[in-house]
Order: sequence, then structure tokens, then C-alpha cells
Amino acid sequence: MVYIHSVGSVGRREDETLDVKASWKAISAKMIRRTDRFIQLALLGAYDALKERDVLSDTALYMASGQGNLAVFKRLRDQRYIQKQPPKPVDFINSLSNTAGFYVAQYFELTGKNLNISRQSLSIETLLLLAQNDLALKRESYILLGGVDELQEPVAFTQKTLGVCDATPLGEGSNWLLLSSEKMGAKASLVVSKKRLDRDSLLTRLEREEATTFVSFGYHCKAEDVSAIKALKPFQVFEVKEGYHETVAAAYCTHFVTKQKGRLIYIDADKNGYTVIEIETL
Amino acid sequence: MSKNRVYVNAYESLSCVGDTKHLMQAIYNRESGISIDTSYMKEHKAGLGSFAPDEFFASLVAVTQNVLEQSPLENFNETLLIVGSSVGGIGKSEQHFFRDKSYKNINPKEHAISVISETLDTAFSFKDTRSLSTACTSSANALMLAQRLINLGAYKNVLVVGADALCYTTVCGFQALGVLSTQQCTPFQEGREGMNVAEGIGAILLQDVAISESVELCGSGGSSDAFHMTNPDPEAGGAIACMQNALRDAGINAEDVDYVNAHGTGTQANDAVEALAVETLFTHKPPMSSTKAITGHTLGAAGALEAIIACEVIKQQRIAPQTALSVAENTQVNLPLESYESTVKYVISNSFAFGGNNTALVFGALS
Repeated sequence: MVYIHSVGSVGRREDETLDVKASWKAISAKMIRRTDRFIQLALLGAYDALKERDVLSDTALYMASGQGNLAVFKRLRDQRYIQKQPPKPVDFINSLSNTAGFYVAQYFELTGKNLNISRQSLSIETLLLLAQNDLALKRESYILLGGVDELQEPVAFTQKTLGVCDATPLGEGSNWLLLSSEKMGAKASLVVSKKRLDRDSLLTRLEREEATTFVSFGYHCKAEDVSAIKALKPFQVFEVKEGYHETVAAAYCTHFVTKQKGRLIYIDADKNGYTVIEIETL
Repeated sequence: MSKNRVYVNAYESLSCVGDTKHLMQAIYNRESGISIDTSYMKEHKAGLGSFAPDEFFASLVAVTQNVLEQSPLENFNETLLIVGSSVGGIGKSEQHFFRDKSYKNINPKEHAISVISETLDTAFSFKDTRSLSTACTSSANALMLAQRLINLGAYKNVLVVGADALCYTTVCGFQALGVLSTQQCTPFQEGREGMNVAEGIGAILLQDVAISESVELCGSGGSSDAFHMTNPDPEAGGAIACMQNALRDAGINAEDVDYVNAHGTGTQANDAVEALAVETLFTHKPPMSSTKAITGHTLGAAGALEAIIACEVIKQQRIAPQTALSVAENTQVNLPLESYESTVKYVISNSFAFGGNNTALVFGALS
């Protein structure tokens, strides 16, 4: 079990607007040079998580993104094939997967380990499992963990990228959690399943929950699984307004801690089975 | 909490000098695989390390198959795959764009870092997969992650694959940064020109049980400079911290290290700071060399490729020399010009990346 000490969240659905640059200017006089929108989105969410607390300098930073900074790849291609120019150094640097993590570490002066992981729709579960392991092994004392995904226009491009149907409302988000194995001062506890569960194991696991538990379903849960879970007990369904992106699981974590009291079971799946994130506010 | 020990039980690599056997021959004989190339930038010469750019994904599967055949496993069905890559499938997207001069037919699923793990998962049906991308520390961090998972007992078998192909984005990008060398790179040399971008694959099977051929992955450590996006902390604080963390994790002291496999890209900034870090931390002056003078800088694959070199140095009990060096910039570090036999119990392998991302791995001989 790990403990959530603070959370931060910035995001929007596709039918909303989010002026990231203006939002950053509103909170910090220090505009960070050479950053693009993806990096600024990462900074904004991390700032929201750390704005009201001190953070130890050796805090590790684990970041995930389903799609990464796709906009900069398009810029690099345009520079070469449309403008017939070599890549701009700033765009080449910003195309690296760990650039956003660097700017967050630099802004908050974090000198701990700095990682970037991708596993498409289960990136957050993978990252939480890594954090849970490292905190259990006492390799880290605090971990700032974030999921960042940017909505690319046109929306049809992102739908193709994500392989989702037209009816799925898309979004973007930068959601961050400060984690520790220390309970004192924490806002919530968190446990992520170490292994995938099959359907029967998942249902058995949920039968043990009180009916007051909230449940949330990731995009890859099948409709029949959702129906079967709802048929078990009259669970309340906790939803977030942020549309779908591949690190939206982090939004469920941050929003539940800030907006709800009680216990949440967030369920998602891939071809290997089901993953479960348990959050309980303290 | 007691932790499981982690053993390197099988590996294979592919770089511009060939497979692991040929890699070690090239290192010990100081024969570089770098060629001077103008195919990526007609207006600029660049020293690059290439093996078969059109067959990268087929090579990836072949190298992994080789590891499986060497290993005690019958298949990878109960093995976690962790891929470390900086480039992922960008080369595939570039091919589509070259052909069509449009984004229309680019398949985003082929573009991502995870295309490497998906290719291998399709071929071998792993238990699960992860992809890690932290630029030039990617596969070193993948090894660190694998070590942690085995330490904790979450997995018994983890295959780490570091893989990056040459592509226009990286070659032209590093040229734009002004750090490419027009000739074979000369790590730690006074007045060095820069680095050689290269492609490479390194696949390493880690397990929680030892076999007769095992080398132990004893420790790992990471740190972040939080200083500058492209320049390392000139005081080497981050580089020193990651090596100290790795030594602490391994439960050994600096003076126990018998060889340092340096990151040693051949750029002004990296080599100066790394030499300062090694000079500061290892006062007993263990031999140090950068094998990138042979292989070039294989970016996200470098951590895995150089982990294999570290294991080979331990197995062969033979120090890897520093190729392409005549006058060292930092004379306080021990850069051997010839290979020689030596008792090698512990090797530390460094990987540093843009973003001040630092990782060190400690490998040890089985006692």
C-alpha cells in the first residue's frame, strides 16, 4: 500500500478549451523558455499537485504518457519535408520522451530518479505498480507520479491514433500524485493490483466490497463486464468529465481524492486480464 | 524486506560490428564499426554505425530468438518484456512520409515507442510488456526496473531489450545540435569533435536463479541533474549521485570496482563531466573506457549493449581498452590503450541522457 499526499489535475474534454500558456502565466511569473504545449501541460498539472506543499529534493519523478508529444513529431516532419529545413534544435530536444519530465524536475529542483514509461492505455497502472514496488523496497521515499496526454487536432487524427470509435468523447489531461509509504499527513491510500485478474477473480474480488464502494470503468472494460459488476451490488459509479485519453486513469485517482470521500475501485483491462486500482480517502 | 538476487543468464546483441562475439573481438582489437556517411544529410558527412537499416525489426526478432535458444527457458510465456528505446517506430513513420510526402498513411500504432514491444510480443507471446523511454538511458533504466521487479519477487524472468534504429530524425537532430562527429568519435580525447549516432539491439534475460554462466546484476542507481536540458551539471553532481546510489544498492564500496564502462559519447560536455565524476568517486583509478568508439552511440539501446559488454569483461576477465585515444583531456582517470587480463569482480556501467537523466548499473562475478 502507498499513500497519496497530494494531487494535481488539469484537463479538458474535446468540446472545452484550455489555454495552457495563459494558465501557466496566471500562476507563475517564470515562463519557461523552449517549452511547447505538451511540456507546459505537464508543468501545469505538477504545479497543481505541489503548489501547497514543500517537496524533498530527492523526490523521484515517474511520468507516463500514452501517446507522448505527437505535435512535435509533426513539426519536425514539416520542417524537413515542407519547409525543407533541418530540424530546429528545440523541437528535436522536445521530441524526446523524457523532456517534459526534465522540465518538471528542473522547475521543482527534483534530483531523484526520473523515468518515463509507456504502455498505452495501462501506462498509469504500470507506473503505479513501479512506484508501489520502489516504495515497498524503500528505494524511494517520495515519488511524484504523473500522466500526461495532449489532445491532437483534428480529433479524427487522435481517434485513429487511439483506435477509439467516433462516439467516444476525447480529452487531454495532466494528472499528478505525490506518493509515499508514509501514512502521516496523507490524503488517501492506494493499492494497484500486482497481477492481472481473470473475470471470475475480479468478480470474486468485488463481491467482498461494501455496496458503498465507488467503482469506475476504464475504456477497455467490456459492456457485459460492467453489467456483471453492477449486478453484484448497487455500487455507485464514479465518473470524471475529462474525456478519454490514455492516461485518464490518473484523472480518476486525482479527482476522487479531491472531490469524493470513501473508497474507489478503478477497473481497466487489456488482453492479459483486468487491472484494479483501489483508493481510499483518509 | 529481503530481496531476490538478479542474474544475467543469457544475452545477445547486434551493432555495427556484428553480434556479441564480434563486438568483443572488435573492442579488444580496437576495430571501429563506424563508417562515414552522407546518405542522411547530403550536405554533411557524419560518422554513423549501421548494420541493416531496412531489416531492423527482423533483426530484433532474430536477436531475441537467439537469447531464447541460449536460455534455460522453452518460451517467453512466463517472462516480462521491458523495452528501452528512444526512437521506437519513428523510422517506420519516416518511410511512409518519404513515400507519400503526407501524414495520411502514417499508422500511429507503428510510430510509438511501444511498437518494439508489440513486435516482440507478437513473435514470442510474453506474459506482459513495458516500454521505457528516457532518451539515452532508456535500456539502462529498463534493466533497473527489471532488477526491482525481480528483487521484489513480482517476476522470475524478465527480458530487457534495448533497441534503436538509425533514422533521419535522430541523425539530423543531433546534427542540428552541433554534436555529430564527421569521423570516428574519440571519447575522452583532447579536442574531440563529437559523437557517432548508431543503431543497436541488446537483449538480456534476467532471472532470480543463477546458472553456471551467470553474472549478477548487483545494483542500480538513478538520479536527475535538474540542471539543463542538454548540458550536464558541470560539477558532475548527478553523475556522482547515480553511481553512489548504484554502489549502495550493490552493497559495495567505490574501491571494489575493477572497471568502469563509461557512457563516453565523445561530446565535449559529456566526457568532461563523466571523467570528473569518475575521478572524484574512484580514487583508486580503476581502468575506464568508452566502447562507443567501436559501436557509436546506440542511444536507447546503449545501456543494454554496454551491460552486455560489462558482463563479457567479467566473463573474459579482460579489460576493454579505450579506442581512438591519443591525448586524454583528463589525465586523472585511467584510460587503458590496450586490453589486458585482470581480475574483474565488479564493473560499473554508466548511462547519461539529455534531461540530466543518469543511471548506473553494477555487475558482479559470481563468487
